[in-house]
Amino acid sequence: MAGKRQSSNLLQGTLDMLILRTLLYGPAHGHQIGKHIQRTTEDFLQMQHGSLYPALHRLEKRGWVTAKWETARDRNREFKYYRLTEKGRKQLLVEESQWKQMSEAVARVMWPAAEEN
Amino acid sequence: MKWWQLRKRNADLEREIQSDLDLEEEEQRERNLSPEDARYAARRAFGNTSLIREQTHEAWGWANIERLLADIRYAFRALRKSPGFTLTATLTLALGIGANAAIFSLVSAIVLRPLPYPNPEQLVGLGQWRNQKGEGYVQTGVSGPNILDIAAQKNIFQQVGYCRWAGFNITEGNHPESVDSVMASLDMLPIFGVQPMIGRLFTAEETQQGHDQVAILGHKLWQTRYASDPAILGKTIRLDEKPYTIIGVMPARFRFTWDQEMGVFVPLALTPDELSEQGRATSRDLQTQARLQTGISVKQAQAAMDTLATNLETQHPVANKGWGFKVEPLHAAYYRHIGEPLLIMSGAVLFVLLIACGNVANLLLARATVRKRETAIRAAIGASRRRIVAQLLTESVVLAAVGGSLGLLLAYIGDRILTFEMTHYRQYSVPNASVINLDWRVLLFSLALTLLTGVIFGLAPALIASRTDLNESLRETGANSASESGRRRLRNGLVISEIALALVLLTGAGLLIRTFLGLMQVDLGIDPTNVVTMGIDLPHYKYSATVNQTQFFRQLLQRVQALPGVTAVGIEQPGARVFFQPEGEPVVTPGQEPTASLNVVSPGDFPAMGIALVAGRYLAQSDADGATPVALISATAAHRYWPNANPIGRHLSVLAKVYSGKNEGANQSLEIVGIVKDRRGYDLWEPRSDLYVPFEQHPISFAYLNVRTSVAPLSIVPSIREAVLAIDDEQPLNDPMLLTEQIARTYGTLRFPMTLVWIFASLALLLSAVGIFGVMSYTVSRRTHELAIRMALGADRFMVLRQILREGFGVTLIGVAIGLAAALSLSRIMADYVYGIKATDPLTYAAATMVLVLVAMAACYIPARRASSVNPMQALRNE
Repeated sequence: MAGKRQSSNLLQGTLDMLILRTLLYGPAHGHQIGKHIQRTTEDFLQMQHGSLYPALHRLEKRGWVTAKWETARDRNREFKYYRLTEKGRKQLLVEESQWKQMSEAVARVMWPAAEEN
Repeated sequence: MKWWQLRKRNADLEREIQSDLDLEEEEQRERNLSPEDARYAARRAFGNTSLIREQTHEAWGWANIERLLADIRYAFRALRKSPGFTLTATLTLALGIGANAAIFSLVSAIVLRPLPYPNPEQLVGLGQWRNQKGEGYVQTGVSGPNILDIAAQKNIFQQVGYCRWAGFNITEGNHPESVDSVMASLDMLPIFGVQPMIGRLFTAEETQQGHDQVAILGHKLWQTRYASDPAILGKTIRLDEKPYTIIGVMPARFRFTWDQEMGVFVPLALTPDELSEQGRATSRDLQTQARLQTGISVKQAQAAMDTLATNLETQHPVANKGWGFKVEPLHAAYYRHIGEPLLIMSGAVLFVLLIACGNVANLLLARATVRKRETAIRAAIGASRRRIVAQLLTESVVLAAVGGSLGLLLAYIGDRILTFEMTHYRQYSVPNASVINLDWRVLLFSLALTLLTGVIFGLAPALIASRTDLNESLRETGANSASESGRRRLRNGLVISEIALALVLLTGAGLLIRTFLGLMQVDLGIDPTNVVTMGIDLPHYKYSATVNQTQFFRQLLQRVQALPGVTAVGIEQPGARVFFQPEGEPVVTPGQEPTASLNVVSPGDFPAMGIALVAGRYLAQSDADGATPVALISATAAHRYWPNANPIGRHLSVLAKVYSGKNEGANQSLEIVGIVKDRRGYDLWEPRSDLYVPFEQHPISFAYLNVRTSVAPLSIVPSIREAVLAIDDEQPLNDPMLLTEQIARTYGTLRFPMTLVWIFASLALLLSAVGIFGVMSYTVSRRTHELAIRMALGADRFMVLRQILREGFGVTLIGVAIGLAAALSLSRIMADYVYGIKATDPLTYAAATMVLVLVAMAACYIPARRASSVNPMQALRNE
């Protein structure tokens, strides 16, 4: 329980970025986004994909993604597809660079020797 | 996204979640799980759906409103579940809010609704005033020449208009019809920014004497009498037997001086006399209103008028010495006389509402204790304190809203009653009384009041209820705790405030009742039993010569006196204000001359009205035209203006009438032959300084005929009518009425506002009694355990009874002390409205206190008796 809580806290800050990054490949519905993130992180994040939805709706409200019910190409069923907007693309860049700065800063503190090399 | 799309949005989210779950389920089934296991696995993978739903809602940004809606739904459910509480609380609030809304409708109609004219803020009323010896501030209209001087100040006023009310009869066809009519100067109607619907207003020429036989009709008269004749212009209307050419019809919505529906407007052409230097003093009856120049404030106008008044005092000392001009916003001038009573009423109903709030707060407190468990459970499963307070507050606002809606219904009924009363007794002269209703201001006010009320009575109970100690509440023991004493303090504090407020209202109502009783016992100075009174108005066109008028009345008195059953008969024309100089007394500073009402009477009027002689003699038949001019004075006039001398045999000279365009009686020397008792009738509150002069020496065309009979007074009216017709077969008698009835009406106008305050005070008393009853009942039920132990240990029933009563008494006493202090500090406001007692009348205060304490003790007695009848065995076993 404790471990999970930790990882989801970490996720909270970076989930937006991960979603935006996933959508860079093209429009996707919630389940696809969740599966993609799970698969890519090799289930490290242990994310319950339900937790995507509040984030997705938040992103939509901010205008970083748009959503539309569309019929899937491979089956005869409608899904709610999320699409990255231009604003979302810019936001992704911003978050990416922030994340980089952050992890570099953390790395400098954690492994000072490596930095010297 | 807008919040009203929530429902759609919600369906969308459900579909999205469902679609995700379905997909996941399919995938799980592909791993060869049974359908059931696959569904559970999908749910596990997805997470907590309720939580996710909630979080998504938060992301939409309308979570607060959603929560509010949920709270409101919940509140309604909770209220439905306890109908007893809901009914009591809503009714209490409905009374409080309803009373406030009703009184506020009055305030709205009179004070807040702007005058129905363009740029109403530019409209002002003008008056002359001076500091009158014995009477203080006296305000009159403005005299003709003074108006011309004022109107000359073009940089201050756009227009200055003036008018006189006229009581014309339309003398066409068989029945003369009286019509509300006004004589208006050239600028009077233009001030109101109005144009006739058809035709035109007066021209400058038409406001000159000899050219003034034109008339403008009011819309209603045009509709009713002339069937909306479109070709009315140029036709003739006969007013008091004189032909007037109709030149216009006013629009339907136009009301003169705010709310007067006039039938006829004719030009007011001042006579050369009125415009002369003498007229500067004698024509101070002109009602004067003006429109300020754009950008000029009332204050600036007042300053200009002060300067003008000073100049006129030096230029025309005889007429203007001591007189100033007063400029006030026209709207305020219209409602000036009832501004303060309105304020008192508003205060009274506010008190009632506060008491109602106190009661409901107490009910909520008791309810919070009952619902402690529920609150505790909510807190235990994670509701923040803020959340609980918000929910409880929502509940109280919902309660207030239900009460408020019911209150509006009460207010609507109240408004109908107020409208009826105010228009029925026209003596109130409440402006705009016919349109007392729930306008948008009242609705807005009630809404604000309702929300505020909900928060006021809900906040403290909610805060206290939310401060629960989980462990203790969930265990639900009845034991006393720290929070319990805080609640008790609050409960007692509420009851104490209620008692204090109720006492203030009770003393106020008590003062008014004592005032009314005092006025009932006022020595009217007349004996009204077996007297019938009626008006006789001789038309000018027929009785233009004063000799004919006097002749008519002389004959009439003789004929009526001769009727069987008549013991005395007299005529009187009630007083117009005059100023006079007592001869032989030092000449007073101009502006400080003694004043009196000049009544023109026949000698027989004193026995007819039953006015007693104090000294000297009555008027006699011998005081005729040509004999020495004589006068009687009232006792008040005697000791106000002849404090150190016997006025009988002395002379006074009447200086000038203020309220008359005519000049009669001016500068006439009269010998005082007698002093009569003060009489009151028109004004019950204060004895009036009166002069009585014989009609033979001062011809009049209008008089009241007062007849004292030895038979039923009204039975004699037909023979009086015959007597009149025998002299003039066209002369009508107006409104025969018993004098007792007339007096009853005067008291009626006093009774209504008093009844209102009395109703509010009774409500306050009732509500605070309910309040103390509730608190004591609660205390008793909480302390059953303790009382049972006491009784088990040997306390007898009487001791328990006494202990509970003592506690209630203590609370009452504190409330009474605070209430008395508050009532005393407010007594200054009441000082103008009490008669015969001081506003700090100890008897009234004592009586109000007694009533309150008795009622409070009665309210305590019931719970106290229940406490004393506790069966200790049973009570302890129940624990």
